[in-house]
Amino acid sequence: MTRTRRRPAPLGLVVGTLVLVATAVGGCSGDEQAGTEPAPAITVTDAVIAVPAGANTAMYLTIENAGGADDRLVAARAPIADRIELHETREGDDGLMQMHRLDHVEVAAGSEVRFEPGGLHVMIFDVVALDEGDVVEVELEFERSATMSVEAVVEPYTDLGDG
Amino acid sequence: MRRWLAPLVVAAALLGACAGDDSGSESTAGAPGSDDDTPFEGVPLAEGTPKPDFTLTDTDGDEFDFVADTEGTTTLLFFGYTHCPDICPPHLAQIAQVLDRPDAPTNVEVVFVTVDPERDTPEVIREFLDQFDPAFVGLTGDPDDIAAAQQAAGVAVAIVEEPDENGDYTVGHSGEMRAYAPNGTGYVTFPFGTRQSEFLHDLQILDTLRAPEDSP
Repeated sequence: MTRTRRRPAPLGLVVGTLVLVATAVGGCSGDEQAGTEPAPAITVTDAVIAVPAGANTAMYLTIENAGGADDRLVAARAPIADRIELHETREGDDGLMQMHRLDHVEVAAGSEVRFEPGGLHVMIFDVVALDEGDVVEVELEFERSATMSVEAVVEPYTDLGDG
Repeated sequence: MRRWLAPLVVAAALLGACAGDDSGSESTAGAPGSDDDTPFEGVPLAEGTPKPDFTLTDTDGDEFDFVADTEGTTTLLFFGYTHCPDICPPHLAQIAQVLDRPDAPTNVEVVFVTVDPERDTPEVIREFLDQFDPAFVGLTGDPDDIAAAQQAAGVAVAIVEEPDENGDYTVGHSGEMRAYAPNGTGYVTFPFGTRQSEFLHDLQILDTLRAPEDSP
């Protein structure tokens, strides 16, 4: 059967959605001397929230730690949902893709962590209605670095890439 | 384009970062194009894989006989659920976008079967699928019938996880999208992360397989 299809053209990926450099804050242990202990230096880029297709949606982002100390993302908050968690999809030996809730996501010194479909994602439960192009302010809480606010752009789920 | 692909590789790297025991070799059992004997980019199915025989209920409340009601079309079969934020939407968005291409075959049917019939009412499924393509078929039914459909299709049967303290739950399910040619035979399955060019390549071959004796 021949069908007519209607789909909005996908947007290109937001490039450099936002760059925020964390002011590295020590303070995990009381005996550090300011300026001498290595500290994390967190940068967040490419923060996007998928246009919700169902009750839930996901945020993806890239976190880079250019500093000399490890850090952890421990929570995310945004006014678009009461409940936001860190999740990871993993494929088991049984062939099932299952989501696992994480207490934190490690961002080791000198490393870059990408949240991407099929892997790490920020799980957003019972999200409010969002339209493509909306910008959502999301607070990211780290174990060591100061909590930072990033702007995530709402985008369709279409840019998985091609080649 | 974005480097969202190769999610398995990325997942492996990230898993290592979290668990500290990175083996560096996440399973790539589903890696497309890994078999030189096949013309397909997706993962080949066993020769002569038949269309699974099952009947469920579509979003209009009508019976949908999978074999009879998709006869003569290239059919893509996917088991998922609408509360799924990370696998189902990107997979469906990918194939929807492929089918929008001018060089994509038009004789293609996408059939989505919920593995969460408790929450996925016909209305919820319809609204979900309409985000991708109103022509996508959505099916639901009794949990036993849905499990039987997955077994018939040869995919891992979904597991509904225990509800958390808020009563929310996730469903572990196969990320595969199985593809059947118009002649009724299954030739290939597309794991999550399949690229649009790979989908398109295989759909064009499948579209030529119209008679039982046709071979790729």
